[in-house]
Amino acid sequence: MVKAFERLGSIGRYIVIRASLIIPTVLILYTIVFIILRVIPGNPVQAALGTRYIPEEQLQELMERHGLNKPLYEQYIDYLIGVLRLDFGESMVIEGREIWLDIKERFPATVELAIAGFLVSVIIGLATGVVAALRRESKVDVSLRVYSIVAYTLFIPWLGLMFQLVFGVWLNLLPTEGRIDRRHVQLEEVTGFYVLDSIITRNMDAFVDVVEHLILPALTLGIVLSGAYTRLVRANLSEVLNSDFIRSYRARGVRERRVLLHALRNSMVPIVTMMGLQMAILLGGAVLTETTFSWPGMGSYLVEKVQYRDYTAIQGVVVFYAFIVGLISLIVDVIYALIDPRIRY
Amino acid sequence: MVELYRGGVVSRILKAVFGRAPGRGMIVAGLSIILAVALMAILAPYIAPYKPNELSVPVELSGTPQPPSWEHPMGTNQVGYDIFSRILYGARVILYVVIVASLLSMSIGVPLGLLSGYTGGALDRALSIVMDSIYAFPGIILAIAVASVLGPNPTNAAIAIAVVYVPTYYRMVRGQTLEIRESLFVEALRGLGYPGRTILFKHILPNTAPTILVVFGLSAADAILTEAGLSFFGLTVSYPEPDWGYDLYTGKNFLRVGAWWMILFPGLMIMLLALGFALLGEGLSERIALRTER
Repeated sequence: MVKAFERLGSIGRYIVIRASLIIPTVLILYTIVFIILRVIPGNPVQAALGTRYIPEEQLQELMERHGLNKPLYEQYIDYLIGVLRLDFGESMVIEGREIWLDIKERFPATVELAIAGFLVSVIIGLATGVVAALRRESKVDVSLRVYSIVAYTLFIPWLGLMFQLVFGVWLNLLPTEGRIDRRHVQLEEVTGFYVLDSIITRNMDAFVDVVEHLILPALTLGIVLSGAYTRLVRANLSEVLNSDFIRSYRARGVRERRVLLHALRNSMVPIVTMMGLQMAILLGGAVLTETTFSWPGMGSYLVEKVQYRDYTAIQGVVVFYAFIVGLISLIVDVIYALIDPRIRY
Repeated sequence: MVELYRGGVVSRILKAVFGRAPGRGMIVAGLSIILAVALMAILAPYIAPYKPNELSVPVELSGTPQPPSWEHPMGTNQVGYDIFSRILYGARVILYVVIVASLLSMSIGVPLGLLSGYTGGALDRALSIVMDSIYAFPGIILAIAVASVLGPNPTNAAIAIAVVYVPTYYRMVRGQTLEIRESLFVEALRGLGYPGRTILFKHILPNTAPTILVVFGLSAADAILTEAGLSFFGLTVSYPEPDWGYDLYTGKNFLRVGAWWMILFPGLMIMLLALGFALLGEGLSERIALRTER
């Protein structure tokens, strides 16, 4: 066992140790949700029913079904074991509906939106950050600084609705709701990622429609997240541009474009870290973006379930998100270790 | 290196806010915005032309949102409530929630951070793992889960938001405490035989006050947006109580008829207030020269 571990090499060991750290993260968030869901006066079943009345017998039956009449510690452990088998329990509102099936159906939509939003934010952030760093203390720099603060304080639903108003209602250029217009195009679902599906099935009409649906939500999410990159790229790049090795490049007559490329590569490490930190904000922002654009992802699923007080679904979504957050931070850390060999065990 | 301040807590905070140093413009701008919104909230009953949930148009016009006019500078909503009046009263809800939430998370995060940073050891490691896990999780999702359990009212929304920002205070204060603990003056105090409690609360805590202020500004800006998010999902008040986030949400249903005023004004107010706190936090952090991590 120990020998096998040593044979992994430093990067392998790093990944193993780092991956085991996901477990406490998920456990802690699960514990928090578990506790707050048991704070509800009465019990989750009664709370989900609200003012509706059902006979005591039926109530007991429902409790049994969701395992709510067992002792608390048993409930806690049973659910954990279930999660390991991808069993997130059943819906409290729609009888017999498995939460995992809903998650599987909704998750690709969120990933598609998050990736698109992420790309938009990185592109805008890099472009504005580089410009600001090259023109330090100029008017452009000052206005980009204002941009980075204002972008951070933009409220996603407001920006999204303004986009819908301008590009959807007034100019009538782009669709404002959903991922695809099923009245006009057909799309065979292969992976659940519509952009990918339309490429795989060589369906040009669907591809255009899907991309059109993606533009406004991705812009909304991306702009709000871009401010942090603008500021970070500016700060790091101007620091690197002032360093000795850049000065010696310039003294040797290296062309300015090449100098900039070297500088950019050397300012990348903190930016990758930032990408990791931004993931939580990205997932949170996606919830607001999805609701604003009626985008059928995990976020709008969560909000729907909140309206119906479907507590098993809420618990499932939070635990699932905890997994995703842990997984993303693992990936970011591994990339980080690959870039910078000093960070290994 | 941590900058150490002289004098009592109040004079330290006053110096940090108003002293001559960089960031003054941002601090003044931020504070002006926050004060203006606070005034709106306090004076709402005297300056609002209508009650926030009274029919302000003739009955035959009720049912269609009316565009801005002299009688209704920000228009009316679908029922016929005056949006300007709702904006004024709505300032109360959002300010209440965010201030209560900030105080709550401060009063939990700061002592835990002090304790964790000063004592170290197993307690420190355990607390850090818990706090880091919450910190890494998307705040709005956690807040939605907590608020959905507690039920829609402003105090519950404040509790839900407080849970999200405890780790922010904790991390900052812990980090500062770790640094100050190693400084010469703490060593001297220890050498003089002062008990840990005295050193921690009388000498280390006051030195973290400026940092706490920075964290307050930056996390309150974020909390405004989280609160508005909860409101947008109907988790803060019940309609027809005025609430910026929920009013924005109702505007979504009247997008097709082009009722831009139902979206524009509540959203602008949310962002103005968030900007106020962000400017305050930015200005302070520039002044206090602290490595900000968000």
